[in-house]
Amino acid sequence: MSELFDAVEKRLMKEKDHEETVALWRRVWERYEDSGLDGVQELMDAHLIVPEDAK
Amino acid sequence: MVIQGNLPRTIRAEVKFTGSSSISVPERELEPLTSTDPNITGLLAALFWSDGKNMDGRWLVVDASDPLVLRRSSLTPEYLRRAIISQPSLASLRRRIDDLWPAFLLAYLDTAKKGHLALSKELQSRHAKGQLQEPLPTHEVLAIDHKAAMSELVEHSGQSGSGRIFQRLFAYLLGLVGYRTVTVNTIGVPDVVASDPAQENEQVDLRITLEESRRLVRHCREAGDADLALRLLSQDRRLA
Amino acid sequence: MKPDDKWRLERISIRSFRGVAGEQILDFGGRSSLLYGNNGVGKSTMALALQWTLFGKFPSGVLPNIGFKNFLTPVSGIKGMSCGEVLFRRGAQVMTVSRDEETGTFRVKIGSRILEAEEAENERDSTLGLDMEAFVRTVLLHQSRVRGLLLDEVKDRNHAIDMLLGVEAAQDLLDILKDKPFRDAATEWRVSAESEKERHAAQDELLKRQYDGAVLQARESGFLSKDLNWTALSAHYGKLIAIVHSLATKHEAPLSKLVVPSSPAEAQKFSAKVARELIQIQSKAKSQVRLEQEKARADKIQGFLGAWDQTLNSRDKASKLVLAAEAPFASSGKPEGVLELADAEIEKQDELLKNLGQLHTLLTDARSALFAQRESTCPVCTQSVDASRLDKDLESRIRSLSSGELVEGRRVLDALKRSRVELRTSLEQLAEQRINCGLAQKQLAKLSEQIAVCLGAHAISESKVRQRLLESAKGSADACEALEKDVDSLANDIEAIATKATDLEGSLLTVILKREEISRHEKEGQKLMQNHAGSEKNAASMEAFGTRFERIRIALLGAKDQLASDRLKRARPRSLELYERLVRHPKFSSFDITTIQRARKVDYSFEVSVKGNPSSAREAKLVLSDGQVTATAVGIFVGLAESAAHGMDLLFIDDPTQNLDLPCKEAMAKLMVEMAGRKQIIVSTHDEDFVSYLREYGFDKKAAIFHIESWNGNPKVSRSESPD
Repeated sequence: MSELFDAVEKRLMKEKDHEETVALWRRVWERYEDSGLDGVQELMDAHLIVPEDAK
Repeated sequence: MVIQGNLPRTIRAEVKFTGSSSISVPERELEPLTSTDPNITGLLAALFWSDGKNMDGRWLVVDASDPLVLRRSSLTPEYLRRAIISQPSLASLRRRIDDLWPAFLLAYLDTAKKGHLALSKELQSRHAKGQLQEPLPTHEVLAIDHKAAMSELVEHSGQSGSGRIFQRLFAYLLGLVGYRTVTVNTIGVPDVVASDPAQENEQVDLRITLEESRRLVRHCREAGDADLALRLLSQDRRLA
Repeated sequence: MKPDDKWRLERISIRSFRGVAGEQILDFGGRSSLLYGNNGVGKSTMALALQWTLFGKFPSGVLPNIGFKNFLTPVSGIKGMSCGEVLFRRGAQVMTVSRDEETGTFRVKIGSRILEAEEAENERDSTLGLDMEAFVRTVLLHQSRVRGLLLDEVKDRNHAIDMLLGVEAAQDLLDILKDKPFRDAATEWRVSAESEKERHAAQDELLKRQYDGAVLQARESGFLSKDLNWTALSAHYGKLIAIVHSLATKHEAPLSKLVVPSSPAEAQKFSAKVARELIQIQSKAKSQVRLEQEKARADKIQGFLGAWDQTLNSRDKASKLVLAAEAPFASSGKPEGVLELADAEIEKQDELLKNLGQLHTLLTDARSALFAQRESTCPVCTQSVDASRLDKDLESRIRSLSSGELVEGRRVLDALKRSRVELRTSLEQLAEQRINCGLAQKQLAKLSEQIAVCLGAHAISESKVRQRLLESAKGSADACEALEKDVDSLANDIEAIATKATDLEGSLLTVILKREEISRHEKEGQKLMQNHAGSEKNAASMEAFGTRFERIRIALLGAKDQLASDRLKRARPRSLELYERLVRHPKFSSFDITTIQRARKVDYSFEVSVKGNPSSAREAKLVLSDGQVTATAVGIFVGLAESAAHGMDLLFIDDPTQNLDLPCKEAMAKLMVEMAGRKQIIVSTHDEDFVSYLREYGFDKKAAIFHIESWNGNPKVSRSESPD
């Protein structure tokens, strides 16, 4: 429904090799709608993998 | 490495050579590379060469229509490599360029040192006759060989001279990769236009002796490529 | 558009929500309304309750720094779960939206359909034609959104414009979607690979320096770049082997068994093999063999020469000695006869001595006898003798014999004997000399035979031997000279080949071996990297995520810019009109808000100017008062609301007159009244002046008036309205 979501998705889909980026954007938006920025931060943290000795 | 897809039908490329740590591409040079035609791919081909770390004298080829490229006023090798990771559709083209470049440079190094005009003449002639691959060395080209060749050419021709030479070399490297039509614009944009590529599934006739044919079959078997070995056996009646 | 085409707010009922401890119902009946009362009585609560009931949350910036649940809790402190219900009407259609914190339900009832949760949300959005972002941008203007425009920091004012335009979500996401943590993570994953790469690169450097040194040496030996590979080196080996073969053929030596090495490792033993082959050629070359033979012959001839001279010398010496030894006997004939003569002499002398001895004895005996017998006659002749005279004569004779003849005789005999001994010695010496001479002659003869054999002659006369030897020696020397030239030439050729082989090994092969080492090292490096494949995969994954987030950021920037620009553009005509009406600035009669896209954000330029004179533009914050900014914001909001396309015919404006002066309030009141004639306007305010103006301009004739007062745990609401 959101114009922002649609506008971003449309821009991303114009690029080559956009599939994974669009999928990520959809997940980001979904989290944002569900849990706001905290949810987005959680999503980012969930994707962030650092080595054990760096933690 | 998985080869993804065939080569782009038509390439419009901006070719940049630099001895510094980044390149900048003005909008007027990027604009002609972009096109709504899905058969046309705009590329930025960058070659960095200096004494710094990670300068390996290899081409960094990115899709010029990518916002990651368009938005940046200056592009470093690290940034371009990151963009490359996110542009898998050009992987096939990049792999071929990367495989052929060191041998190609070594093959035409002496001609390149004679100057831009001599190089142009030879490359054009060989491309027209389908003989670009003939002078390529048969021995392994090590990284040090490639770096030595790069150093030699740049020291001999200077920075700006080298730029024109590398532009020409890149254009005909695309020819070696498989593009049957190559145009170089010495003035104007884009620098290079290449079209009519040989595709992965394109077939050609091969003329080889019986001994060569046997060797090919043997090499295929030794490499574990039984399918190709069988295909050769079935195609060459002399081997029956 | 007819009112029946759009939804209007009929009623809000809330319970246990903020300033409402119990239950509060406001029936708007789809009409415009005024909610007025003092601060803190709960006017804004209605706007928030509408927001919360519909969407379950508040737009950013609305909530103070307390938790959402605490914010909902009734101010009275009396515990209770919030509950809200909103009723919309569109012609004959009624939609009820309700939310219950206790049960956690969100429900939409439209006609006979009752939907819950996600279905209800979807129905709400599609029926009303907007989401929460569009709702707060085009329906509900909360005072907090206007306040931000008055702040001192540009960043805060930009955020306020973001909220006004409904694009704060884009900026919030832009602020939070950072690619750097992923880049950093990728770097972390590559740390151990990087340090391994660095170690490897250090070794690379060392190998490169060694390689460069080897290349330099190879070039000094005359090799070119095109030679610096195994194929070229193999070709050089092939040429070398051909040269060796050619040399062997030329010098009639056995052909070598050299083959081109199949690998650099094998090539390391090649120069030793070449050296052995060359030694073989050198030793077995025909010219070398012949030279050795000729030299041996020459040595032999020299040996013979020396021996001949010596032997001849010896023989001649021996001959001379013989002659010298024979010389004393020359007059006597045979030397042997001389000895016989000497023997005869000795015998004779010996006889004589014997006789003399006998005579002596006889005389002595006679004397003794004479003395003894004193005879006066001779026994022999019987004559008379003078005994004394006879004695004297005898004595004298005896004496003469003893000291004269005998002595002499003995002396002569000794001399003869000595002479004989000497003679004998001489004869022995002569014999010996003759033997020696004979031996020397034999030796000479033997040597002569040997020489004849050596020179290939049947026999050579003694006088010619030396000459022949000299001639042969010269011939040999000449032959050796010629052969030595051949051999020298061979040696030169061999040296050249050996040098070439050494060059190939010492310079070119060194380069090739170093290249092999470098190639192995490169492959080792690739294997090492494979050991880090897992880490590299993670690094690449992090890079990919970083890049994706960067792409999303770029798209967000573009989208924000585009949305903000589009909305401003659509709202501009009405906003400008309202600016003129509400602000009535004596000089700056126009304003504009434009977007400025930067690397990581979209900023705004909020400027006022003299109409038709763009060069007069000044930053609004520097020119407009707080009230004027507020009025402008309300104008923009109305412009946005009226240019938006959705299904609601409602504008809920909370406290639109903060900071306004009286003329502005009056203008605002006029605007509200005018708008109330066309759509459902709900205004909440504490501003008595504004309320007076609204009444003055007939707002109460078109709208319901809700007076909210004396809050005491619950606001007291009285409603009045004129008949519509």
